[in-house]
Amino acid sequence: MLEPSSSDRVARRSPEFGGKDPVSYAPLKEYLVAVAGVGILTTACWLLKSLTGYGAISLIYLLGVLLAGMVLNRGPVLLVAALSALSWNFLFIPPLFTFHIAKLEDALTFATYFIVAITVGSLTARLRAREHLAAQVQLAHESERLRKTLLDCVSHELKTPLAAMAAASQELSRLTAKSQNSQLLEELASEIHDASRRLNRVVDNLLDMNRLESGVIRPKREWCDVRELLQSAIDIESESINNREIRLHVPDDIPLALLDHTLMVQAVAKLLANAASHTSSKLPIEIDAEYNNAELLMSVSDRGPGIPSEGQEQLFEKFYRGDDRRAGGLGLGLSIARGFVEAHGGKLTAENRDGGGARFIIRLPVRVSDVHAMEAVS
Amino acid sequence: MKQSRKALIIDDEKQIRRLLRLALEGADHQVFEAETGQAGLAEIVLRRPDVVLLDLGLPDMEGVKVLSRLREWSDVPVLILSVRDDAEDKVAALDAGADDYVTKPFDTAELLARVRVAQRRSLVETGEPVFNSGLLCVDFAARQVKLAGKEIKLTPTEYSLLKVLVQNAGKVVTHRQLLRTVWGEKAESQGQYLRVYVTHLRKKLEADGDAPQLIKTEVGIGYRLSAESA
Repeated sequence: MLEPSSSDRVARRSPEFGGKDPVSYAPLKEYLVAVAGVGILTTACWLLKSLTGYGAISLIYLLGVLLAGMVLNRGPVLLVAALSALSWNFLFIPPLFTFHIAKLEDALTFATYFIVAITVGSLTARLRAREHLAAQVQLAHESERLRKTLLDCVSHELKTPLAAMAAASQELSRLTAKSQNSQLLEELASEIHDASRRLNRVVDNLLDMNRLESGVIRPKREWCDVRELLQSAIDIESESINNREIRLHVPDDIPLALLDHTLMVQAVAKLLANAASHTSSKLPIEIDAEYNNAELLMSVSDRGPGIPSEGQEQLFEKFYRGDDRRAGGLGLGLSIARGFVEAHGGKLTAENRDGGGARFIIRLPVRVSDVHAMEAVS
Repeated sequence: MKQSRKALIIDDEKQIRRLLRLALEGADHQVFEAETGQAGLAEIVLRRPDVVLLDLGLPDMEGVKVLSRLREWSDVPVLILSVRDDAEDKVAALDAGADDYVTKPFDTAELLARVRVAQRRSLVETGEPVFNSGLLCVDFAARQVKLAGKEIKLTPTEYSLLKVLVQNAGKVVTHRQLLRTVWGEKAESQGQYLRVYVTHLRKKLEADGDAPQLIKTEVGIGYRLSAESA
């Protein structure tokens, strides 16, 4: 049996979302309520007719339309308006039990009622829909704020003890230099330090993933020097790269690009970390960038075992870790990198290289600056 | 005997305060602590510290608020401590008058280096006519820049950019601060000029263009002229 794919699940769930939307759909129930409401109102009016006269009945009907506008959706409200106009005409305006109207005065009143009822009905319904929308927007803002607060709080609570561990182990290794068992103590301190770094990485990834999924990430675009961006990514991963050869190829005349520097540095860093953890430390990693056809291309390539041919999309799934479990980590890095790239409206794909190894390519549609060209002249 | 310097730690986490105390005492500082922004401000008045380490996420008031209140009457060097990854918070704090920042989990050696740099009076204040660090030598009076004894020709804009970085050697300078000082108030949003000129400067001053050692990028925040390796 095949597991249903995630897109299937989304597709199956979507009618339910549509049903909840008050503006586009009104359930059958509301139409029944509308018809029943007009029936009850008509009975009441029939009983009151002798007291009020048939002219005032139109006002009672109008009241009914207003009430309907407060509780029902647009369609049923318009039904109430039309039905009430017709019943008024049929049952109350002489000659009775015909849709014919004898007096010009009555005909004018009827026409006016019809227009007023339809207008009032549609206006109240629209007002209600807008209120509903405003409430939903408010709710969304609230929950986003709550989520951000919660994330900040979790981040603080998880990272503070990690910071303490990291700092304490460093102090420890500094102090042990003077002690007798310095060799052993030094090693222990460095174990604690490595562990805290590893844990910190996991926490960072989990928090990033959560940020991506809750949609709090919105790129803040600024002008970036692509070479500088790639260098920052290399700096961040200097520990996992661990002195292996990095070949950086960026054309001298590459223009400045308008993108979120921080997010893109993170995305490239995740690709670097991935390459570093899945290939032998003797093999170089290549980073290339070029600007072509309004797209910025940045790629990270290695000479490792490459990508299993059937698994190119699987790579980017959350918690996917490939066959090589020794590489460690939760399997979130590539998924986060893709999230950051997609937040820019770009694409992250993987392919096998000629001659072996994997290449991860980021394609970003970006605006570029012409300042570079101008400066070259001066 | 050497007079020890006074440091004030404003952080609500006891564990972090204890560790910072250890590190700072190891570096000959007399250490005071405060748990809240209010208490911190009071301690600054009372103790007159030489450096303040301020956490951005305090329980009673935003760290940035503590900073702007403090800056109304004191120019004590302030180092921001932050667990948040949000560069915006740091930029806001730096623009509000913080001298530098460290992100938790921090490296003790790095923290102490930042504390040292923050306490050093800036070159503008000391009126030192020449900056000399490692290979780089900048003579402000002659507007002359030398790298390993060899004169480097800089355009006026490149020179004023380098000057700001050199005057703040070892400290982070935000994009906004650089743009404002070099290009004026109106240029604050013109980040592209800054990127272009930093690239130019690096081409002229860095030995390896692919791994800049002198002008370091602080992602999302600004640049730092590294004083040690220069």
